[in-house]
Amino acid sequence: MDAKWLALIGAALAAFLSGMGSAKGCSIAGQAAAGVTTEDPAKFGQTLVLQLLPGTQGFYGFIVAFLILSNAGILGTGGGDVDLVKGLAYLAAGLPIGVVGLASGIQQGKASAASISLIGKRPEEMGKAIIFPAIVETYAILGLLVSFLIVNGVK
Amino acid sequence: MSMVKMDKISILGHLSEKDNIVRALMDKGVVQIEDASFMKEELGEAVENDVADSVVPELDRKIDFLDQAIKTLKNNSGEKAPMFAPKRRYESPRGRKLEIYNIAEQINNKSKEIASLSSEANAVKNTIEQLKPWEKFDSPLNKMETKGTKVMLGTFPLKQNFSEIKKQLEAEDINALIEEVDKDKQFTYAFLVAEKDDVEKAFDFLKGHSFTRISLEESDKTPKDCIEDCNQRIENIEEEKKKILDEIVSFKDRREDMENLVDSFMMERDRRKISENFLKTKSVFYLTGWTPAAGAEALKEEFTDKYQCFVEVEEPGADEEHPVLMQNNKFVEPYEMITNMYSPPSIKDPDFNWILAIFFTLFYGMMMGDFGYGIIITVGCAAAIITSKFKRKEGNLFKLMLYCGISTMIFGILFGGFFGDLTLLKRFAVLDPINETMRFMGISLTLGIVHVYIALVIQGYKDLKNKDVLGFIGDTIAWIVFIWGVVVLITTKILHIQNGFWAESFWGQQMGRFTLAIWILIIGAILVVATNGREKKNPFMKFFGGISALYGITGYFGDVLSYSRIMALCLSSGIVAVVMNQLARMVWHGPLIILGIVIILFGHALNLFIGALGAYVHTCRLHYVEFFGKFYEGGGRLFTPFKRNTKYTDAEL
Repeated sequence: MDAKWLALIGAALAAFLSGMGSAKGCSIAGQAAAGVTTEDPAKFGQTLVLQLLPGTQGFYGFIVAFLILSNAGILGTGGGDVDLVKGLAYLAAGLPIGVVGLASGIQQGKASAASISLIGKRPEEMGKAIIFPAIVETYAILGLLVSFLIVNGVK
Repeated sequence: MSMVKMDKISILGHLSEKDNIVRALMDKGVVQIEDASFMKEELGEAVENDVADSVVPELDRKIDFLDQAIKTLKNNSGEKAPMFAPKRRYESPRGRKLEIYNIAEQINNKSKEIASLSSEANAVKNTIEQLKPWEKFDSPLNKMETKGTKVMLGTFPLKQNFSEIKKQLEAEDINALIEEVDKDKQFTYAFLVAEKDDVEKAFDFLKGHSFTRISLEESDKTPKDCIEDCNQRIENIEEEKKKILDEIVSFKDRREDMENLVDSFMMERDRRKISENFLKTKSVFYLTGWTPAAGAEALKEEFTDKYQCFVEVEEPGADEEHPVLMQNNKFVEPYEMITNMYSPPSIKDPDFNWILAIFFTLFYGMMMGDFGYGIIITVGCAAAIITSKFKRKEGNLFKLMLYCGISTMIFGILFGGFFGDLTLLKRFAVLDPINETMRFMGISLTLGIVHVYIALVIQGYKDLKNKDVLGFIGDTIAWIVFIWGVVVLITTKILHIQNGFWAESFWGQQMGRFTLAIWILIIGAILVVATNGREKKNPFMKFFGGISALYGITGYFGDVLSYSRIMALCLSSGIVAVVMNQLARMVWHGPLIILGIVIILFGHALNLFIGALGAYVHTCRLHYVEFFGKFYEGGGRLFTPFKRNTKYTDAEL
């Protein structure tokens, strides 16, 4: 039985869940950034960097989706048949980065927003401000890693 | 590589020499002056606190004023300051201060004029907004009545049916009529003409239909002409603003003068302000502070020779708190930044920055692990360092990243990583992170154990320095042995790894590793139990304190596992790089190559940014939590000497 559709669902979950997380996170951080930039337009660059940080989850989701699609032979020419077990594995592979990406994207957005208001008051502390949201990022990285290990483990 | 020894220095001088001595101290820049008021009671009633000179607030105000003028010039002159450039040398504005300050006054007056012009322009724009709907009302605005009639302007909300109201008004017994002027998304704009006697009645009637009266500013022109006048006025304002701006910009050659003046005022302010830390009597003043012991005697001689003063230099008491100054070689120095970001070392902490420097560079390189990215980081930082001509203790982040970039290149070669999966360096690789994940994890955790061991050794070193031998055994030896036993037990019995570093870390291979591991474990456990309750008095409490300390192994377990992030970060940035290359390969034919190039440039730039940031944050974390947690006290004060502090220029002597 060809179970490519399971792989497709896995790829879709990886991309859209983490994309939603990043969209929400960037939006939260963007609103804070706009507020700070109103007060001092010179802080645009600094706040933009902080706003971009929660954007990586969606990016990771895209990476996993791409890996699933190309390994399952949906994209490009590689890959063999996908039976039910493999299909389920691909579906499972989409979940870690999808779910963790959704949650951590939003939470990182909140941390970013807080760091942006830090920049609003103390622009010289950029180094510290960037660390707080970057720590939330860890869990997205771990999600990406597990997703990758699952994709890689499908034999 | 060490903490610099500090001496306490006190100067007692005649008041007439105060200015000279303060100036000399500032020029030398080697003494951190401390608040001396704690000495007051000791010295008796004749002594009082000195105060800052009364000109200090005035100087602060002048500095702000000049800064404002400089900012205006910078924003308008269109000159782009290069991102990395060394600070210009300071040139004393002596003798020209008034003239330079006068320029700042002119600039600030002009920007005030611009501000008032802008607010006038806004007011005019508001007027235009008000008049706009009445553009079609073609009667001068001051001719709103004749002998018998009166005109009134007003609006209806759009949801009111205007023609219906108009009809109703005509049907009423009122000598009045309304006419529509214009409509927009919200309102119908209309005017009412009525006989003078009936105006009130008509108005009341219309009010019942949500009519709101609008009164416009009187004018002998029609709204249309008024709007035209306003536009003309705005044009004039803009022209005027431009002219003033040009006048401001014409001062741009004087910016350096103003910057010099700010710095001159800043130094003067610091000199005037520092005396609030002094004590004084009617004829002498007293100051106290810290200075590196190496130059203290020379300083004493020089000051006693030159000025009317008495200088005393003494060593600090054993536990006396004082500011800390670290002295390291060029490689280690930038890493002090990492320690200080956490918390500057206390006087009890040894200077371990060289160990931090080694492991920071190592971990960072492993987390990035890509030759290509390493080159970019190295070249970028080298360029910044060369163009900025950083002095020592400046641009630490760039120097630090330069070393980390080199480390990244080395690990790129070892891991065969070159912009992800480009095969250029594959044959030199000794480890393939993506396919040998478990081995990589083992290496990461092993490094973690080594790192934790070193932290324990530093704690032991501190104990020995305090002559606390039992502490050295309890904090360091016991835990090193105990952890060793646990690690061997886990690797051989639980993970069934029969070779490799930990499983072979015993000399008695014939005895059977398991037995030996158990013995090591037991010896370690006994040591921990015997020593870790040493602070308790009661022997039972000592024993139970030791037993409960064994539970601390779970903490070490978590600490060591935390080092798996080295593998995780290396793999994740590797994966993203590989996928970027794969995406680009899919379109790598024909004209689509352009798209491929965009993907590669954008993808790798993004990955480099995220990866470099992630590696930095996580390397810091490994040091702050896992490493510092074992021994570091922190909470010290960094040595900040009284010196020539400037904002725009380099005024060091």
